[in-house]
Amino acid sequence: MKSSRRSATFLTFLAAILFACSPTQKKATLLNVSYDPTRELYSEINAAFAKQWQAKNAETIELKQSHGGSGKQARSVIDGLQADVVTLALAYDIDSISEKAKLLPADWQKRLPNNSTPFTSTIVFLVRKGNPKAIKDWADLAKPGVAVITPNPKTSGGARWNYLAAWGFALKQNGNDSAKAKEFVANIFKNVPVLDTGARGSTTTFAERGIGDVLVTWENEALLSLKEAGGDKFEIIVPSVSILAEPPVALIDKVVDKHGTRALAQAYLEFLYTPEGQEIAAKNFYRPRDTGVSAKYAAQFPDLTLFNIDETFGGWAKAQAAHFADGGTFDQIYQPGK
Amino acid sequence: MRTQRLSFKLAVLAGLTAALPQIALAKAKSQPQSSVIQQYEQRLDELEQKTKVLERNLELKEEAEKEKAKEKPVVKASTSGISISSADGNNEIRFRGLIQADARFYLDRDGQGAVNTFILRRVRPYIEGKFAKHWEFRIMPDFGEGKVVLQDAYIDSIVYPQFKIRVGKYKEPIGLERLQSASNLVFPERGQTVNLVPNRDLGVMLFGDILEGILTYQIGVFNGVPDGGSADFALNNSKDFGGRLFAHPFKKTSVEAAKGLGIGVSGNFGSANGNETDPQLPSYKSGGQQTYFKYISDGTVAGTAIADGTRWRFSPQGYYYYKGFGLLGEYVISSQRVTRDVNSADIQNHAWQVAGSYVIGADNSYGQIKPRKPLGWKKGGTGAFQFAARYSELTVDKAAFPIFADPNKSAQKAKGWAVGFNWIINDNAKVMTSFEQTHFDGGGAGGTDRKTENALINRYQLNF
Repeated sequence: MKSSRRSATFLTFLAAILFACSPTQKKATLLNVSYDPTRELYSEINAAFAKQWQAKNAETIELKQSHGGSGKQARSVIDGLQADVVTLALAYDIDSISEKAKLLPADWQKRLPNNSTPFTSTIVFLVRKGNPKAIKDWADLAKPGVAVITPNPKTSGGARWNYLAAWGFALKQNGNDSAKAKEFVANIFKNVPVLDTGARGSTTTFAERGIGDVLVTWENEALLSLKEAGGDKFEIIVPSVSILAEPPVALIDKVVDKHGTRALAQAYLEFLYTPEGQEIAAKNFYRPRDTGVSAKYAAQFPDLTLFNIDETFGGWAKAQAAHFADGGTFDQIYQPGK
Repeated sequence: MRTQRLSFKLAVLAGLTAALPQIALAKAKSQPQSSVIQQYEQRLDELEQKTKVLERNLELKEEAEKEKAKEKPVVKASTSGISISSADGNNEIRFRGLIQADARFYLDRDGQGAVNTFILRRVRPYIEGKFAKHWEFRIMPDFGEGKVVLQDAYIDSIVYPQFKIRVGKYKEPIGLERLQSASNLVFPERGQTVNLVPNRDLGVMLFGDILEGILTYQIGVFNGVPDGGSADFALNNSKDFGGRLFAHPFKKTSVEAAKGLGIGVSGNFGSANGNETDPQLPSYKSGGQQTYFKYISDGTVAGTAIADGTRWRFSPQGYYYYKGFGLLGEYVISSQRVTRDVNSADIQNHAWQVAGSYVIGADNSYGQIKPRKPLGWKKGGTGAFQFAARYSELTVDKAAFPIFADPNKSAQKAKGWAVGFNWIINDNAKVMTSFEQTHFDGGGAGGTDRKTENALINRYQLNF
């Protein structure tokens, strides 16, 4: 009797302490780990989403963003960076997070429409005003004397799109001859004097440091550079053919469950598909999925033939293994310092 | 190596740039002027591009090196020991230590076993650290007094600052002075209250700081140990439940003079059951570390007092620190059901102490006192000086005599006053000296009082 009374007293005391120690109500915070050139896009998305969330839920939220080369960002998440959502340059980087850190399921891409890619982009060229090296298509990048700026495919998702776009062009030009495609891409990389770790770094190299004749980059990044430079410094060259770049988004299950931010993260990603989110994407030069918004911004995005990664390379897993894994074709054709 | 190569290239380019007008001049003699200028401009452009490329590559290389440096483990040697931590700070191991070399002298030796001696009171090399940010640990052996004892070995799981879980062996949260780190004590030996509170015990404890540190709590379940005792395993299935609440009510106010006030209460309850070979009962020591009270024990059932039932302790406590001034006080009552043969009684012993100190050259603190100007010949620092005085006493329940304790061998009361002087040389080294006089009621042969103890204890301490 005495013992049970003691136990009851202890449990009451314990319960009181646990109640007193329950975490105080904090402002919900979401970290979006993204790739290099999306700073402006997600600044705008975050502001709009926070406003919408506040209106719907009467809750103030804090949205944080982190940017860097897509591969590097994925590595950081695998190493413990607490990303609630990732919005990376390519599906392979999110696959890596799933495979290596088991932070989200392997079929993550099925959870949102359009394979979890709310908008698309492609790869184009930015050249100096007047196009002094007369660059018109991919073939011109392989010519001697043309300095090409592109980031490092080992660290940058955008660079991998650039590389595969060039490879795809060469395959089409040479009847799917891989050897010729390899030689062609090797010649392009012989013309690359600086390899930045991310797309934004390459833009800095080309636009601010004045290095190179042509920047191979995301269409959105090229259009943004053009807008920021005021139109008298650069011009965009649209190649005859390019790749359909699909930057995907995903919530990181283990992190959102730990942080208690699943609903917020899900709503955040779904917001990207709303007309408002699509409009912001289009304003930031990403090609929207929404047909209405797409039609509205049609003049902004030139028509060009686009091939996709699945058709030409058999998907990201195969492309990664063949080209960008250690000892892959990129390692074979590019030796730093030579 | 690569930087040198880049520097060399830049030097060559600079040379070429300087020589270019001469080359152009020579060519001008044999070519039309416009063509020469065009070539000259082209060469300049090429050189400019090459320079920019070299500069950018150098910039990227430096950026990459900075990034790489961020990932490198950080090795740090400081006054807090030597530590190795991961670049993100989430994983860390700290190598620390405490050495206390004492010289104990007993003036007017009482002939009851006190021997003047040099002694290594504590020798504790220990490691602390954390892994994956939220899991901290400490492993602390002690080689002092010629024994090897594992003092602390615990794991802390940091769920929130308000909610942490400690599992292992550590100080049970009862006594205020007991919970003060041995390296931060004002006197070489703690006051009489330490005799009545548990030392180290094994168990599980929830603890944390709430209301931005205004309130600290600890609550846990432990094997249970006798007063002043430590243990590495339980003798029976009973467990002690204990807890402590301690508040700094003015911590967040603007009243500077009140911020250092801390008050609290602690206690535990449980049950202890000893036997004639391990009675599970305490003995009590004077400031000079001489045993002046122990329960009767001759190894037989009839001649040994044993713990035999409910045990509880209660302790209100507090301190106050402001600038150089410091005051610490606590009261402890400890109750234990004791049996000897057919006799049983609840023995309630109590103790209290008040200790005041004043520090010149540093702010006084319950924690580590750090001199504003550590001793240094060049900078003229002298360290900090602490003057201290204390009164403490312990009263054993009269019901303990004569059945459970021999009044001719164990004192019923110990009253000690002490004065101390400490020279805190720097964050690591400290010299302490104290004089403590302890008077006893009873404990002498034939119903007399045990002879007064006059203990002069000196300490040289190094902690890091």
